[in-house]
Amino acid sequence: MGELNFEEHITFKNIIRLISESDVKDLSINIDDLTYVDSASLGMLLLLHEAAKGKNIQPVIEGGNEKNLRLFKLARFDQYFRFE
Amino acid sequence: MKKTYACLSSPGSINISDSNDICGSCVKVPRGNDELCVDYNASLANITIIEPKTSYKKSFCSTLCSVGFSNLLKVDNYTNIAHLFYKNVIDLIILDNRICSGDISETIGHIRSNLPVGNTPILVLINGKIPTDISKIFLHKDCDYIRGSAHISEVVARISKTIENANIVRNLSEYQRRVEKELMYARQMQQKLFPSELESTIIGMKYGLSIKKYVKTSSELGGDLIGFKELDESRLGFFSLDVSGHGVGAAINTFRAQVLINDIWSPGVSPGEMLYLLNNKLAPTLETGTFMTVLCGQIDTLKNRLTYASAAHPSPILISQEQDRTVKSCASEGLLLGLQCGAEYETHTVPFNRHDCFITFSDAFSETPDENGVRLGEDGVCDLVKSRACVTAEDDYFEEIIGQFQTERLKFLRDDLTLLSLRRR
Repeated sequence: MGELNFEEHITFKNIIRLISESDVKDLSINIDDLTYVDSASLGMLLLLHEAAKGKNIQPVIEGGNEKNLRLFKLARFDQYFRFE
Repeated sequence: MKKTYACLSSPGSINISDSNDICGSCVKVPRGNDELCVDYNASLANITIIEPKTSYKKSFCSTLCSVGFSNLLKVDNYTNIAHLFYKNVIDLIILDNRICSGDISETIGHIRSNLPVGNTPILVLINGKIPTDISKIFLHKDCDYIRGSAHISEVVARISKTIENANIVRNLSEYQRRVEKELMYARQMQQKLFPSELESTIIGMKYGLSIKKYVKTSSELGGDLIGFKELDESRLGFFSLDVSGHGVGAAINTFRAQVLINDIWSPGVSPGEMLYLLNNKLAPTLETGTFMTVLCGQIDTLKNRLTYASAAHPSPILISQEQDRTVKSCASEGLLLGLQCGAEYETHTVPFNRHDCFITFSDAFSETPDENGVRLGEDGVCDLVKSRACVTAEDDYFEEIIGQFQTERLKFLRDDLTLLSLRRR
């Protein structure tokens, strides 16, 4: 369980580098364990989307509580991620 | 007090600039059968040496002169040396401990108190036995000591290093001062982007509104902005925007957005069109991962309605007086601004009659935790407004909401915060 906020930007950078440097075919982000996602994280997720787009992948966001999904809905993230 | 300028004309001195063996920033100075490496910049430094009266040949000043230090000033008394420093920029003071009448630390304190600039480094030259209170030297900033018996190469190296370190500190301090000054100017400029109390009052009187706002930045510069646009006699435009991140980068984007909003917004442009046009201008210029949430709206006092559009800005709150003061959160979905050209934004319309109130806020209001780590969330904000709006006089609940936030959450605020309340009189 945890929070997704700007403090995770180093982790995100590493994931983005990993995506760019490897032969990734799918990208799923499971957010079931996230109690809270702040709006600054949206920018990091968009960078992740950009990296995935470079590999012709549509990233997937899996799970998530009602509050977090509402934030993604508010920002129309369905245009960038597939929600499962 | 006797003072002696020791430099090129002194017996035994050499002119380092005439030396024929310059290597990088160092100059090789012949010293008996050896060569001594002297930092060129250090050799030109203004050094004041406070040492006892002695024949010039035996003085420390003479020793430094002999290895190429050229801007030396020798004095034999430290009690009244302030006037020396007003005329000359001193890079280093070398203090011979034999001249200290008592405690070295007190002597350093006395010298420092006479300096117009307090951070001139002091190197204490210890002749004879090391005093037991030597460590007190380090209680003072930029102070160090060297043994009088040290090899000349060590003396030169210590002097060079002390001057170098002092220059680094001085340059960093100057840089910090300059940046702070520039940030202060930038902050003043940014504050002018926000409508002043007077402007808000005048606009409020013109359109029959009570306008209240609360702005708090988390650093010198912020990424939030609110503003008004007088569209015609009966229609007032307003916006609240929040650029991702904060600090200088976010602030530059608020300037950019403000110029574009003023340029784009005309009476015939609906809030949805406004966001569409603004997004098309911003999307090609903002870096990936940078975006804005924006809410812009129009109050039409003739038609008693409020239209607004949102680019993922937190859901605004409408307090309606129609049925015993109802409080509801309004729809606010929309693509983040600045991500991709062509995104469309829906214009919502709500009745806005006399005494109705519309509150918009940046996400810091709902996302800042209290001491237990609990955030209000958008539902919590709506509940808070409900709890205040139902029991408080119309003009007081905004202050009460802010007051509660300040009490419970202000010290945990890590983002920029703005709240704007527009109530029809």
